Amino acid sequence: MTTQNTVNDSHALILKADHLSVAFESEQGPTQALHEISFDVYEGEILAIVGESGSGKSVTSLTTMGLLPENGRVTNGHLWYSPRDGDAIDLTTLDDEQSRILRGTRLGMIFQEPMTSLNPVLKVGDQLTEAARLHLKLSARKARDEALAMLSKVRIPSPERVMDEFPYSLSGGMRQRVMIAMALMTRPRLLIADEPTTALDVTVQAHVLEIIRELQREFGMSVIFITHDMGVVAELADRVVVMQAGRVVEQNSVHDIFAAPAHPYTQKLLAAVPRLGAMRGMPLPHSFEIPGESAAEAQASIDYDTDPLLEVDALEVRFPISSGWFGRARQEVLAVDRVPLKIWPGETLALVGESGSGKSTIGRALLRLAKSKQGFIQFADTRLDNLTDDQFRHWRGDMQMVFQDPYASLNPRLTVGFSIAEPLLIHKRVPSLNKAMPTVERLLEQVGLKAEHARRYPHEFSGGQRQRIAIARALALEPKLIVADEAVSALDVSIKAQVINLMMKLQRELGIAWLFISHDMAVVERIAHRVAVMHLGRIVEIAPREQLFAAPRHPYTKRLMEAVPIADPAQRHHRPVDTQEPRSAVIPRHQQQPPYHYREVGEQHWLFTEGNP
Amino acid sequence: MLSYALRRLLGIIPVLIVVSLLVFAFVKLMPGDPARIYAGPDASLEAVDAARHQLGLDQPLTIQYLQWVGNFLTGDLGIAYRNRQPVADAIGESFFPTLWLSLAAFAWSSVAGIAIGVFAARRRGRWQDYTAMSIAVCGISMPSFWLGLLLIQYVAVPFGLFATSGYAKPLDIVLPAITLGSTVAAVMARYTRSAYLEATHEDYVRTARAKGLTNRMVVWKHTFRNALIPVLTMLGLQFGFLLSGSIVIESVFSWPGLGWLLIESIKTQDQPVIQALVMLFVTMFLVINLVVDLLYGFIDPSARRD
Repeated sequence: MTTQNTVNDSHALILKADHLSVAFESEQGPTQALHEISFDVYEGEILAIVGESGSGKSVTSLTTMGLLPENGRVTNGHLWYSPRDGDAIDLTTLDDEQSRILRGTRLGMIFQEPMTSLNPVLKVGDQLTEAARLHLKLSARKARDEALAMLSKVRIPSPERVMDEFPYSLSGGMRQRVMIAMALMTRPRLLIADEPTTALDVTVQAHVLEIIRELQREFGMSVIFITHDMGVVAELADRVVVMQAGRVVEQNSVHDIFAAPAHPYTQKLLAAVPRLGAMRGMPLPHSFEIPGESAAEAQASIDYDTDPLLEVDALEVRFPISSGWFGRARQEVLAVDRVPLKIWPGETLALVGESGSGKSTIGRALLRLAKSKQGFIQFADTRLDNLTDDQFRHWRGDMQMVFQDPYASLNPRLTVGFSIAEPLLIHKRVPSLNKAMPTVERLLEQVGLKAEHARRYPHEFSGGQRQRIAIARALALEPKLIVADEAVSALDVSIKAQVINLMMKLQRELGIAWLFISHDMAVVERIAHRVAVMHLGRIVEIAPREQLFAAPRHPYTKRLMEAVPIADPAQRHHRPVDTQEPRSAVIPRHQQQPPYHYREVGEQHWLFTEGNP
Repeated sequence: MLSYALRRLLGIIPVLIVVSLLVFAFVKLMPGDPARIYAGPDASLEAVDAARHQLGLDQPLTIQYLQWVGNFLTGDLGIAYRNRQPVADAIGESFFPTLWLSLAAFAWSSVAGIAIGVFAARRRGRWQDYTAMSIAVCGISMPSFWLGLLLIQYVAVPFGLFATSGYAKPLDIVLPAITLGSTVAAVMARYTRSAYLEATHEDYVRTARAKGLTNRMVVWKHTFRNALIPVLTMLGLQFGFLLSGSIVIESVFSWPGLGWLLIESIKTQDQPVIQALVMLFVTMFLVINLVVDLLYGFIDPSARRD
């Protein structure tokens, strides 16, 4: 640790945006992406640029890097970069070659998608060293040593091995570490990180943030950190620039932004941020309070002495990993390992866990979208697991699903009305599309859209509206249970809050039970009556929400909670960086797993325990 | 890698068995009496019967099939009915003309197609792109035998540099090779262009640019290598297309190759030759695609894993 966190220590500017405007040419004419934005970046600080999709935060970073797409151009203003010595350079006036050299030597960038940002056909070592060899004229040997050192700095276990790997063999978190190492190989003065942790699991995100913070201090570089996540901002940033629709609406130190947001948009953004612990002392789920829109309302309480709506026991799903044409699968992924589950009518059970924990597979197995190996499933007093697929079809009406990606889950060539009416037609609840329309219109209004939207096509709607449409479609058959698989994860914060409020409203009005699958602990704290935490195919802990959040018992639950960024800069804390590759649930084919059971540690609070009871 | 290659090689066997059944069935369904063709148009009924017995055509079909397969496996492809020459000799004579023609056509068309495709993609939306793609569309839509006839009429005949039919000197391969490769070149140009454009939108290309790499590195090291993966598959398929195209082109230019031999054999219902040729075509097609898939492993590391 060579320097302390030098916030504005030297007050030396490194980058200054001065009334910068950027427009994109398209066939419909130009669209203005940035409207005269101004902000400063000082040496050695982390500046967070926050905003929702379409706010222009990514365009800002691409303009700085000189990587605007061909149809984008700067229409007004300047972007001053101050070299260590010499006069400031206006980045908007550089030609391609000057801009390329600056990118290679002074600027570095990390992107959002670690899975696709590395070249799949080149070895990690090659990708790491090429820029340093080109710009710093390092020899192959020297560059390799540098790269190994940098990989150790980003806490990659066995860097020698990783250097000779291709990206496909690395996990998302590892790839993002490689990306960071790559961006830092040429020791940039300014690192731009564009949503670098958005695609990562929360525990991995915590490590990556810690690494960025550490290296920023060590190298004394400036960082522009672009994100939509106020929690991450609170954890990391020194100063914050808030953007909305291509304009900077507010900029201030991180403490002032959180303590006293001045602009209404910032206030709204902060109000919509689900904060872990915000629900302390409230046993029942409450909807979000959105200023000027809705007040917080409590959900009904659940009587756990009645019969559950859905009862699952020993549900098991395994996916064989096949190799080649004739290769028999010798291994399989134990996606869901003998999981028990109960959901009561009108209840929301949240299933949380990181990617690969098997939470989505449970939802899919319940609706027979994934084939379960075994398991007892009883729904409203009927055994479902031994029904034929034909018999099961009848029950699909009672259990529906809402998926994560609102862009992919609606057929773009069908009108919204037809998409919603389709389940009614398939299940022969209505004789014709015309007869279905009154129901469709009622459903649209129920989810907060207009009846006349039925005639439109999905591309005319925003992500949040599409997710409402998907919910309307799920409601069409009047289901008792809806599985929401990461249904709000792809939405902007303010939209997310609205959709969650809608889901809770529907529960109050229609008594729907939700199986809410999510990786977002703060959202879960809002919506769930009970929470089940999944890890490597097993539920490790299941408890009423308030109890789980106040007193988590299982070590994994604790680790998960610990990793959630806290949207309060005053509570910033250090986390040790874990260098382990995440464990995987790959086992030899047909391998018997050791027995386990659950121990009751409180009312409705069950804890995973190894061995027989 | 080796076990993968071996497994893929073994995978060819079932395909060949199915194809052999189909070929055998088709040939047997052809109208006409092969024994009569073998014995000659003026032979007596007894001579035809003798020929039928001699050729084993009076045996049940299953026995005939098994015999054919058995002989085939021992390298005995049978005797051509038309001139009583061993089939293997006839194919041996025609094989190399077709091989040279196909290789020449394949070489120029894949190199030109890929080069034009990358060129057009890098000048996307400009006049060079439009020109290249218009020519490509013409190349795809123009029937190749017609192009062949045009080349004979307007190039071979007036200039006398190339033969109008057959081959006597090495230069004679030029016109049939151009004709045979034109469609492939056009298809490859269009395909490469779109594969390249798709690759330029990939995140890793943006990463490469963010590192400040030179244009040349971004284009050839990061973009082109990735674009090559789908292009390679397409090339394998195109080679099969080329083989079938050679049948037509060889007729147009009277090129003494396998295609020409096949047409002649079909005209005279020379069953052993037809059977052997079709099996040969299918095997070549399968082997080429196998080679392409193995080449894949060199370009796409994720295809290498077991």
